[in-house]
Amino acid sequence: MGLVARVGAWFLGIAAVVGQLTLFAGQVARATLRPRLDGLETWHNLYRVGVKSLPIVAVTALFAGAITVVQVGAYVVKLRAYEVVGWGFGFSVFREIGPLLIGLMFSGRVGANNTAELGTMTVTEQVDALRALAIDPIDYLVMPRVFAMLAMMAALTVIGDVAAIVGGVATAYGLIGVDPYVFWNSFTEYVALADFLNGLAKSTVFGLLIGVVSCGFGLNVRGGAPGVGRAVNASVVASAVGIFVVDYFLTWLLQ
Amino acid sequence: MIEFIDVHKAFGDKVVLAGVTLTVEPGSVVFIIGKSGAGKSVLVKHLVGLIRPDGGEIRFEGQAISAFAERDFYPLRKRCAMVFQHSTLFDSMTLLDNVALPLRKHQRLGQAAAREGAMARLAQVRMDHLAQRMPGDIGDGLRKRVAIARALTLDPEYVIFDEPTTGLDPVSARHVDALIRQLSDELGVSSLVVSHDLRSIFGVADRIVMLYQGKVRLDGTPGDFRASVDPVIRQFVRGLAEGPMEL
Ligand SMILES: Nc1ncnc2c1ncn2[C@@H]1O[C@H](COP(=O)(O)OP(=O)(O)O)[C@@H](O)[C@H]1O
Ligand SMILES: [Mg+2]
Repeated sequence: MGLVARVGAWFLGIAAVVGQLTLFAGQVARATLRPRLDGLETWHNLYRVGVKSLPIVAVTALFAGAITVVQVGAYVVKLRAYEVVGWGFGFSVFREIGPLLIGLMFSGRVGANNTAELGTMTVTEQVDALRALAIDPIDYLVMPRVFAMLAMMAALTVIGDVAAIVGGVATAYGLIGVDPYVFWNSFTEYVALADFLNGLAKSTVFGLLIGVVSCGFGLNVRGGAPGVGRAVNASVVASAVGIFVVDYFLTWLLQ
Repeated sequence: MIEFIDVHKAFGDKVVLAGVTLTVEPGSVVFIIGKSGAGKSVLVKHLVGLIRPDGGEIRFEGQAISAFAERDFYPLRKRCAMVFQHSTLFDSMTLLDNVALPLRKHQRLGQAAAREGAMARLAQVRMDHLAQRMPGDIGDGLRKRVAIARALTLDPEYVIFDEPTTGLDPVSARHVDALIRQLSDELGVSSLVVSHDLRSIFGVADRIVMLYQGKVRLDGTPGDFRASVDPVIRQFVRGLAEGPMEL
């Protein structure tokens, strides 16, 4: 194949995937108009998503907080501006690094798992079996999962913020000798509720995105086990790209 | 009544159905036979809208369903159940919950009441003692029996059985045969049964339809099949390795 043909084929492939996902997102949007969230499935998914993602999100956030302080630390020491550590930390972690990292980790853990599960159900005809039982896969499988991911991303962001503070305070104290009181004061003085809510809003949208993308790739799997593998891969990549693109627009919008 | 009229279906350039016409009369048991890959599963999936025809028409009680949207199939699927060839139990839930799911979703039963109803259905196929097992922990034959129980939970008027006795031991297989016959004789349920099992075919069928090379080779009673002089039919009915049927 010539280069032009290959680029063309690649582009068509992307367009097909985007088109498919858009159609799927439309179906999900329509399903929200007749909300019939299956209670049992929703609880089940909230629990699973929470249990799966809580440890890695907590660890990620803890270290994200710590790393931010390490980065800021050099300047803080040089400028002797110890009272801005909390501010620099809080602003960047709450608004940007927190949601972004948690979103990416969440996608790698929960999103990938979800695509694999729905993909396996698709290739083993369990999804067709649901349809044959007159149960709509969008209502029964997708809605509870999307809701669980959206809700859990919001909850995890709150928990992640707390973990990041712990990581930040500990590092500031251990590495550059900033007293936790000083840290906390500069944090509470400069970091507003708006910063926290800004990050929370972003995370929630990321949760929605990961939910729709991972379910969409899962239900559109073709071609047996290798197809499931490809879909998991594509789902994680698409979620990551989607997170950055959405983040760009949200950052701009929520200023 | 169910009618397939000149149904065509191809996947890519692979033609699977090249004009299939057949009728299932109310309350009757119609067997679809043919070698593996003949398109039997593809044919029966058309009826519940899991596969859409390229051409021809399918009528369900006189209503043309080829132009149905996915939503339109939901009422039909409650009346026409399907047992899949590979059972397709939901492997994230127990056998009991597999059978309870349609009850919970369609009869607005709570989980406890649905499980109670499901237990009775499992007892019908003698699987109640394994109710709390997961589908992955039991064999193919047992899974198939649970799949049958699950399909029957909503008391369908039509049932598609895709190879219901494949993988079952002979005793269980005859039990399933008896169940199919009983559904028809006592409840007036119409069944469309895909099978290779000669004992089922000649023991239970009211009519047999043989698919061969995308078309109906013969549509008749078990007697017609036994009496047929068509070499393809004779080869299949007698289970011979040698004959005109290409592999
Ligand atoms: N979804 C599908 N996509 C492509 N080909 C299919 C699909 N379903 C079935 N086929 C092909 O159609 C043919 C008939 O399959 P099937 O109806 O399962 O045969 P059988 O008579 O053994 O049940 C097979 O060659 C199969 O590969
Ligand atoms: Mg088959």
